[in-house]
Amino acid sequence: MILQTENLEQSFPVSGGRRVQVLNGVSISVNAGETLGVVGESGSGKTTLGRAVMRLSEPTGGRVFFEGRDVTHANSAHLRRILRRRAAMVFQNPSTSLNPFLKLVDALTEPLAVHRIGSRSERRQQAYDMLERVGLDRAQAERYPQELSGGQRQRVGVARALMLNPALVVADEPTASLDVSVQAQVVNLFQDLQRDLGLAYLFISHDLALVSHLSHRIAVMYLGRVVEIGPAAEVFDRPKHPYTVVLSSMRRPAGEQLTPGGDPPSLLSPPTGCAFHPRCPIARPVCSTTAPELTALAETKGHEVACHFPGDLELSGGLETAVAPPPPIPLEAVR
Amino acid sequence: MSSSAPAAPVARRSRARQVAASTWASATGRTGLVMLAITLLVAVFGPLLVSTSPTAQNLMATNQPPSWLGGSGGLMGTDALGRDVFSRAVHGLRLSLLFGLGVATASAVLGLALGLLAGYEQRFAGPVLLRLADIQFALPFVVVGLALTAVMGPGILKLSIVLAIWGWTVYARTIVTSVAQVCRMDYITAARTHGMGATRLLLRHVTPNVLGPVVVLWTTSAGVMILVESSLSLLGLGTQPPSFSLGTMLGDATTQLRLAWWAVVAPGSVLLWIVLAFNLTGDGLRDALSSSGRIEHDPELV
Repeated sequence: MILQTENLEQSFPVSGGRRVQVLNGVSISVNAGETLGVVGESGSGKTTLGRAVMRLSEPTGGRVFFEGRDVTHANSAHLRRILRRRAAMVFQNPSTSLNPFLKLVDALTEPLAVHRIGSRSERRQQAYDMLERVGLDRAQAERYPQELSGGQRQRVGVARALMLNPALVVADEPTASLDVSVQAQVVNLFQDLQRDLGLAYLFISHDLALVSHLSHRIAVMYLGRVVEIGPAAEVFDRPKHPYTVVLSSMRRPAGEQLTPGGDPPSLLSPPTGCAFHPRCPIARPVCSTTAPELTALAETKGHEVACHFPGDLELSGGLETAVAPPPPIPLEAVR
Repeated sequence: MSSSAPAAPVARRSRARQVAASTWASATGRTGLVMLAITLLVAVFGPLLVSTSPTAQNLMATNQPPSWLGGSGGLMGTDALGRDVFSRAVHGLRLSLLFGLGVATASAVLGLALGLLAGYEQRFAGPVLLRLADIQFALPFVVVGLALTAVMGPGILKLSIVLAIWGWTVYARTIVTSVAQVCRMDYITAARTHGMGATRLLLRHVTPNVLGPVVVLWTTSAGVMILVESSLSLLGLGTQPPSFSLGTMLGDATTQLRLAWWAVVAPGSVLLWIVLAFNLTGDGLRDALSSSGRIEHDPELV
């Protein structure tokens, strides 16, 4: 197991001395060579989850284990030896993820220089190799990021994340700001790298179809909680939580889409009971009083749902085959 | 052009060289740079070429008008003690210039460091530093300078230390928002996920992004510092005899203004020249920086 969180909580102070609870008991795990997709709308806490497991913020509750070691409250020197050396991040916006004042080769050798790996020339050589690995020309190493296209910059962002040969890559919406054609290239790059290097991904996105395309398992987040988690095909094709059903219906023709009423609730005043009940098409009185726990389903192993009435709202069948994405790389092949 | 093959690598220019070239290309920047170069050359080599001693007194020839006014006082006349004003201006220029550049550089470095700290550490150090800067902005320097001189005694070295420390606020206040902005960029987060320490992060990633305004401020403040030194020396708080700067020359000569106006006009014009040189260079640099690729419109940056 590369990464595991136990009841992870993260809150931040807001004006007026109050705190906003962004993560509310999130328990996920990522195995070696596995992709865990995290989906949810904005404000669901998926980005905060990524930042918390990378220890860019200190969790306010629960625990984070990286490669078996508790890093929840590790200090920076300790983190440098474990998490910083073995985990990296890819960002959404390629325009802000590269320093405009650094040549690509300098941006790429930086992680190695921080950890004092190799000599200067060895580091440069590794940077050239990595550029070629992500499909860029080594001649571009002396360029500045502004001279590259968005897709090329994102490749450099991926290359930088791989420089330390990490076990885990946290990808926070890495394709959201790219053109559709470039998106596909970057997604393929992610898959190729996973096959070749055995990387584990925590892949964060709002796009359920994209996530199901390259994930082995999917966690669906709503208002700081995981509401459904399970094998990608299960969650995508046979969603049990009404919120996942809503998300999953988005790939259907406009007339068959389910749209939840209203806006996502405020994190400052979360609804009582199940957080989704004000927008849920099948909400009943119990939903507004009692929060459902994440419970394993009998029929599929590893499929858990936090709903009082799992499976009551279903996708009408028949369309899965038409739009079903190709399956992700099997875990055995990765290892 | 030489770019016959489309794939041929383009010759890459570093950002600094790009800015320097574009400063030189503008009329303002070029004038400023030429004036600065002349000033520096005169300061370095001038005293070797002027044969008359700047301190030799000739009480038989006091307040002699310049030769081009029919007097016998040399190029710029003599002052109340019969010293050669031209020679004194060339020598006095050295101290003024050294003072201006030294104090401006020291306060720029200090202001940059504190500005980086204030923008990076926004929980405690940042607000405290900015409130301190507010307080300091409310106090006129002359009052503080007078008070400190009364306590510590006058002297050019003390004055320069006080001014160097006093000058941090302008730099820090100018860069603090940019620092905070840059610190929110993803490449800073990326560097943190690789385990880069705060000092290295600020020096390597943040400083280049805020160096532009610091350099512009530095050039203008070098001119301002020379003026401040002059005005404080004029009040007798700065340079003490037998040292002399352009400011003390002005101070000495004001008493004889009616008898020997040239002894005031000469150092005054040199001051005007220096400050103008610094300001023009600063203007040229600012234009060059704002038109260089850094702030250019990037359609991908929402």
